[in-house]
Amino acid sequence: MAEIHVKKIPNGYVTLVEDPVLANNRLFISTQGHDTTTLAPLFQKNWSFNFNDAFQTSYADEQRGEIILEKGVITCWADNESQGWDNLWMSYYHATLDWNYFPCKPGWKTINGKVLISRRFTIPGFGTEIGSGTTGHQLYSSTDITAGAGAITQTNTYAPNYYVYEDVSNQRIWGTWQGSSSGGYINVTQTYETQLGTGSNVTPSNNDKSVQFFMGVDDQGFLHYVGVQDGTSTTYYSQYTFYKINPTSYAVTQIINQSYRSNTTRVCPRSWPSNIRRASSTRRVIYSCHYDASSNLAPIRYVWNPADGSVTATNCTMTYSGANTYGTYSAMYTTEANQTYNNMSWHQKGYQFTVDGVNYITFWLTDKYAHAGSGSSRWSTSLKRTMMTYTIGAGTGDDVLTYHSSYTFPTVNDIPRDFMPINAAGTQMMVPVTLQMKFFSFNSSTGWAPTGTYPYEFRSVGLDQTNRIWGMSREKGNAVLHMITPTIPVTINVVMASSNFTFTGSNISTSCTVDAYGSDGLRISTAVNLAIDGNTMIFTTNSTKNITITTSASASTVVNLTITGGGVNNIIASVDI
Amino acid sequence: MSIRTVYADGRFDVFDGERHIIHQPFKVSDTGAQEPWDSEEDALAWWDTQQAAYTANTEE
Repeated sequence: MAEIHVKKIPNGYVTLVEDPVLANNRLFISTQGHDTTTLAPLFQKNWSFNFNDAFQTSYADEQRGEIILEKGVITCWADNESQGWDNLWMSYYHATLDWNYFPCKPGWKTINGKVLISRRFTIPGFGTEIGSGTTGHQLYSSTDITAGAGAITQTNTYAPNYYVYEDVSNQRIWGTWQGSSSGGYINVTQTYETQLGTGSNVTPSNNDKSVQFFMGVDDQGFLHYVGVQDGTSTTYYSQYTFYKINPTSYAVTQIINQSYRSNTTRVCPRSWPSNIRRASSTRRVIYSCHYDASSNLAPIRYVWNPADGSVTATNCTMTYSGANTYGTYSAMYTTEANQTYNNMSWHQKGYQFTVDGVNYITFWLTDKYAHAGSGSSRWSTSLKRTMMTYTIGAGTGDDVLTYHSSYTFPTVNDIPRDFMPINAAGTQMMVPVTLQMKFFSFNSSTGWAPTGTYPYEFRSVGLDQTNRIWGMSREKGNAVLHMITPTIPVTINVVMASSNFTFTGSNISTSCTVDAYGSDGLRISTAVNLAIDGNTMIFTTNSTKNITITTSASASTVVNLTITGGGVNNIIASVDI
Repeated sequence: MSIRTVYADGRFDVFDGERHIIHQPFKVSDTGAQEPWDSEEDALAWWDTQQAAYTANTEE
């Protein structure tokens, strides 16, 4: 783990941007190019949003932690409870439900080697902008965005927050624009490799107060989305509307209209759809996290068949051991301080993953403003702070969710601000919380548990193309970039063979065992510095009170000791990072 | 803005000038059941609940 960079240049320049052309292997840190692998500066390779040789300095979202990385970014910051900090306009990892096949990206390399990059001038407005407004996008004519005079064309018209799909056969680039009281919109641009500005803002079905999630493209080439509506009005309580868009006429066909469970009494629990599990070629499965009339978690299973474009909804059957119920473990969180629009700082979202052929779903609780405002009321009890994990039924019986485990976040400050998997299996999560970054690991016997901590509060975190974790904080300068490596030891155990010895005048030979564990809770091999605090014990190997040993990834490492007299001795362990 | 609705053979479409904004070949539901529209009146009643979003200014 390391602090990589303190940003001194003004706001208006994004702190960290990964080159959308991955083969270039470049990261732009405060506009200066660096080799992604070695982080060596690349002189004469400088880039910021620029057009006709003029830098664009109106970009201001890095106040909120803006970084742009290939494998996704989540944001973990809110200034208050009354703006759209949680409407996905920067947190683009969650804006697609099928990241591995249809990633969302603010930077996009086209099929013919051009580069598109969107730039957000400020947070999306509520009530004025529709479809674009605070967003612009630029087209660069080659795979080297540092070359020449910058972008060859730029416009705010039909500019998305991020691109979701390049339709090569029909020559269109599609994107999503989140925010606005009028809900999210879908943007499409034609002639996107030569001249921006021709296309359409497509109005989704039931987009009022909505956030839009991209599902992918069906076998006929239609784009599928699910919009979720939330607001203080009793009209909205996380209704899901599924729809598809014709790839050339842009006509919208509504497939499912405002789906929800029976709990309409409490607005704004913000129940977002889970990621997609590809069960078969005709079954892509999503779960909601709605509640029933008794405020029990009662998800709906949605099965999308990309062969015919249909989506079918089925209420899940929830199964618990013995007489237990949902209320045994958890309670629906309350929603103090909800806002008029879809701009609350909290939500719940399911995440599906598979371990040894068994499918699981965890319903993660998140809140970017739990630490202040009404957060303490929202998360006032341990039941509210408990997230649930279920085993998903096999095959087409995946509408049956059986209780597996639960995890209670100990305090309000431990409520996740967001979550994002850091391994392919989805069993390790980075979970920024108030004041810290946590790492969680899933065990199929015991469920989720925290396995590490990095003591900085981030505004956003993400993964670059090499799977390295980057985080942006603001404890000094205009921003601070951290590169976070969860595989370094976060826990070191030193265990003496015995806690007490009787010294009778002759040296005593004994030993201790040393183990180092990574953020995933697994033993790792690494160098550990040991120092003896005391005057009557030495390391046998070098007859001194200091030694560096290398731990084993498979077993405890034995370190021999010699006790030379009476008294108290302790061993202090440390690692170099 | 020039909204035009077309109902034919159980399919319902809406155009804004030359722009095709809605293609709804079945009745909408909250389950995904794709049943045909009962009548043009049925489809138009649904459109009444939708058109506010489409008749707002969707261009800059």
